[in-house]
Amino acid sequence: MSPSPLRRTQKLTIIAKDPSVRVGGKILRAKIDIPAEELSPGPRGYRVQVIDYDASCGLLYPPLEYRTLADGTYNDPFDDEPDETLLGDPLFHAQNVYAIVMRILARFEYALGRRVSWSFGGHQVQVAPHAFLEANAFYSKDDRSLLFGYFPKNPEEASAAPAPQAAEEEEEKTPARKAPHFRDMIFTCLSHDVVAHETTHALLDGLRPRYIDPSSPEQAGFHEGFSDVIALLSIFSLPDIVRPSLDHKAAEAGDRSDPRVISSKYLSPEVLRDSLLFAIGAEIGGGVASRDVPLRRSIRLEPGRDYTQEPEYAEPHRRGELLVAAVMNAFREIWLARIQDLYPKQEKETAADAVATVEKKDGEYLLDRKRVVEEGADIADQLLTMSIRAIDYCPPTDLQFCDFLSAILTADRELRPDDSKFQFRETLRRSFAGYGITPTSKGDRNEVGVWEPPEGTLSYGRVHLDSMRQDRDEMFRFIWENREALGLDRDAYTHVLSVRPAVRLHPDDGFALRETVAEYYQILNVTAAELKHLGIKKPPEMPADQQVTLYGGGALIFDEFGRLKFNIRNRLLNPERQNQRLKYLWKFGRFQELQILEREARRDKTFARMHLRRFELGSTFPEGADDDGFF
Amino acid sequence: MTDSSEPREILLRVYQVGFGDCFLLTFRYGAAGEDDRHLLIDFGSTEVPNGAPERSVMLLQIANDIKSRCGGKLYAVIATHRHADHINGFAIPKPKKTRRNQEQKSSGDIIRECRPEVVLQPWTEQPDAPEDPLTQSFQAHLQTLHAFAATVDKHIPRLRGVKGSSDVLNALQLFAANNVGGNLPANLSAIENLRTMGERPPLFLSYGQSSGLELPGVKVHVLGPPTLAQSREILRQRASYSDEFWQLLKDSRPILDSLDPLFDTPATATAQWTPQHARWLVRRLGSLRSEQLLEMVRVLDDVLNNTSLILLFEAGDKKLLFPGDAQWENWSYALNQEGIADLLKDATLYKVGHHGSRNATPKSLWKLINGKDLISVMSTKPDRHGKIDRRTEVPRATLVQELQKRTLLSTQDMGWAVSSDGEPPSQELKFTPRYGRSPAQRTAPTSAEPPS
Repeated sequence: MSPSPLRRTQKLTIIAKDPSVRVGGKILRAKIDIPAEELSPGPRGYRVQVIDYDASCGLLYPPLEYRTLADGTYNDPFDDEPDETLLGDPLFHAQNVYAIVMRILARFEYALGRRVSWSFGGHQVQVAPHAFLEANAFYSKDDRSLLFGYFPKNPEEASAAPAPQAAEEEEEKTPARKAPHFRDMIFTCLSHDVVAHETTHALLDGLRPRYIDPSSPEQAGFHEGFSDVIALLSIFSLPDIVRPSLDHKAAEAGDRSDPRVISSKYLSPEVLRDSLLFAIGAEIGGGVASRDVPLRRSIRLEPGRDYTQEPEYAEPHRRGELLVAAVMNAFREIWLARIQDLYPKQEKETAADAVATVEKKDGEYLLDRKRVVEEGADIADQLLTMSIRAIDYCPPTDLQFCDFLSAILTADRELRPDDSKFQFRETLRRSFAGYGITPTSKGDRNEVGVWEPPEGTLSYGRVHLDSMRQDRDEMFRFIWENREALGLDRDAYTHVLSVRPAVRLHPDDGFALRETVAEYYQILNVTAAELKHLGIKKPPEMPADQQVTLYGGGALIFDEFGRLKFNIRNRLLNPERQNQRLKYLWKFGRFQELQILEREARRDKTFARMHLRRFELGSTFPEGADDDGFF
Repeated sequence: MTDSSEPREILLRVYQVGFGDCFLLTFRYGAAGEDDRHLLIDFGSTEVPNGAPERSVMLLQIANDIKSRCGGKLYAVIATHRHADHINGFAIPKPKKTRRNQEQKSSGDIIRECRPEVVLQPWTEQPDAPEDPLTQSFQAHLQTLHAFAATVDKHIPRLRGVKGSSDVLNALQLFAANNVGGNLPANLSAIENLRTMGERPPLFLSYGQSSGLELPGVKVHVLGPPTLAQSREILRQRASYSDEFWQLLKDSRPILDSLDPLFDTPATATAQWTPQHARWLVRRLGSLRSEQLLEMVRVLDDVLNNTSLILLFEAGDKKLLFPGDAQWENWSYALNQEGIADLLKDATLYKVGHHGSRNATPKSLWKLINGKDLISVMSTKPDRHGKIDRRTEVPRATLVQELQKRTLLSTQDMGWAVSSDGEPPSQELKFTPRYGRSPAQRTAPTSAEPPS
């Protein structure tokens, strides 16, 4: 008898949003699908290894060990366990981070049709769910790890939290515990959006390593904004989480008659905007600020204002919120448009479809909860896939939001030329425009904003197409042969960062779209005095002998026949962009930082620093006190 | 009879304290010792010079030397800011009984016995903060920062047990200990001593205020720190989340103090044994943790440096500049005020800010004061702070090179050798002011506000 085929997926219990989100007094949880695999105790798998080390206490918590079931999957030890166990058992914390990190990884691989590497080069990322006592969580490239901190709740909240009966009884027997306890703590590893956000940093950095170079507030903000977008959409794509969350506060207050329906009053743009589904770090934000506010709720940024000109939005995190607002507003708009179809168009339809849609009173409708949520999950899933695919279509250096917009439009157009059904692209264009972001590219004959095809005649005669699909040297040969046509700077150092295949399934006919994506970048080191000859303006106070590094680069997209479809690039000698970049870096004293990072090859610490800055560090080099200001 | 309306000589005694500051500034109006006015500018050390006795003994020797040189009477004490390396000499620890059951005096007792008429400190030290909510919140912020430093300070033995780079931990220990403020009993006693030792109530100064010093023929300009109403620069290092963030860290203290694990699940102490597969992460995370803490403690070090009192003493053609540890954010306000650039142009003496660190002598300041006759005085100890390859070493090599183009007196060249009379090592600089004889200058006010 041949062995039964191995199961490819596995379900594990996680905390749906974070422990502060409760339905019926219980923490809202979800079972999510992740790739099945042979796990070692930890869990330690082929891409993710949980090592529960707490550096603040020097303690190593024991590993989680699964039992393999008859069908080859492993048991879910926390299925139906009480909330107290979820909060107080570090083994569950290990499962929670393992499952969420694996899901985000799998989501990237699904969207791109290939394996996606961590940026540090190794196969397995190490995850520490209780890394240190601090209100912080970050990806550390240098340490090949995702690190999640924990910190005390504000005292009022900690004492107000009800202790479960069993624990109280136990405490009666033993003397009162003075030491801090998990009940007084907020664990960042239990926040779904925080874990998803940090994982995205690690994956995005693997796909586009030059995005952590100091460049512009948008490039710095992109990492943050994109990670929020992925975190929010990946949660929205889980119906198990969205179904009870939409009106969970009302449900907590007892305002829910029939769980199969949802009142239309919870589906207005304003109410959705304020729902916790659009919030990042609800529990953590409350813990840090001692108020009921999430860390971020970018969707509240109203469109129609040019935020990019306001000084506050020169700060990378704030700038990143504009990207989140643009994508999430588009999501909300498409979702609400689809929900519109559920409303009765005429009185008689109400009667015909009584369960799905019933008019209640005062214009309030009760809609089929399952369909509302499924529509949302479906749109979130598609937007999530589009956003991840867009990365392949983004220039590899000096990224700006307008580039990302052209990238997402093009990546989607290549797969689904017809946008008329749900108008994803049209809505994205409109939503981004509301924040002053218009596509970099004018577009082609058929569609506004998509990247234009390459200009000039390319030579393929001396390269081997098959080799070019995977070999960086072969790809470099192609680039070198065509350096004039591709618009490369002749004198700059040129380097192919990656050559990767991408396979995507067409949603309509199921056929695969095969592409090859290569990224190259160029570096030119000049003195400030030389900038003038390159047509670039020297910031007025910059000394003539200041060393300046200019970056440029492009992503080359080849079709299945090895022909170049797009050369998506930031020209090294693009005076407008370089002027902006130098002005920004000089003004905010980032030259100093850049040089230290370059010298120490410590770009990996960027995430830790960025996240600390969110709290306190701000710009450690004040405006005007630039690198040249000190000895 | 000498003319006592203006100083005949100005003497500056630079004490060797290792990593710290201690200067005795004397305005001599008559014959030596006859009509001198002595000002003690800072008195502290966090790292004694090589060869020196332990800190409390060294500080006591120096205090006794100060007392004998000022004839038992100080005119004023100036504590530029709250860092331990500037004030711990003023501490009065709980009295220890010697074998003969006599109470042993501390350096703080000795200075107190010199009955300074007035003690000058920056406005941030004022115990009853003005009603302005921004100022109050800034002072509360400083308190939280001190408490955080104290938490870290206490945490260091445990961090050493957890492994990690000893360089980083040593730096962390220095920074944390320097920033604990009143959270350490010794520092608290120094702060209290400074508040109560003067015969007059202490003065808490900000840019542009009168110094309150009565030194005939000497203009004393208070150039910093600015108040928050004058400049928000010293607030720059705190963003909107900061208070709560630091508050959280401060509140972490009970957890750090406790040895009980967070969970009921038994855990392995990695100091004893670590499983093979976890060793790499345990090692990396140990050093990362200390680096993170160091980065945070450095921020508060900068915040406190920027509360430094900046004083310029002007007598005749001599100008002596004492900026404490002020950094760019503090300096930037004064440097942007009209007339200050001209005032600083022909400085005679520059007390190098912050022991020669990179951030405390901005090039824009140096360009102003860098006259051919400038003498710089730097009190420092090398190889304690920072790294050459990060350009953070103290003293900063490129700054020292620049200072050496003029005249530089650095305590790092002084060593430690007590003289046969039992005097601790120090060096004296003498300045003889020349006075224009125009009537206007003869009747110059004794203390002046900078032009604004």
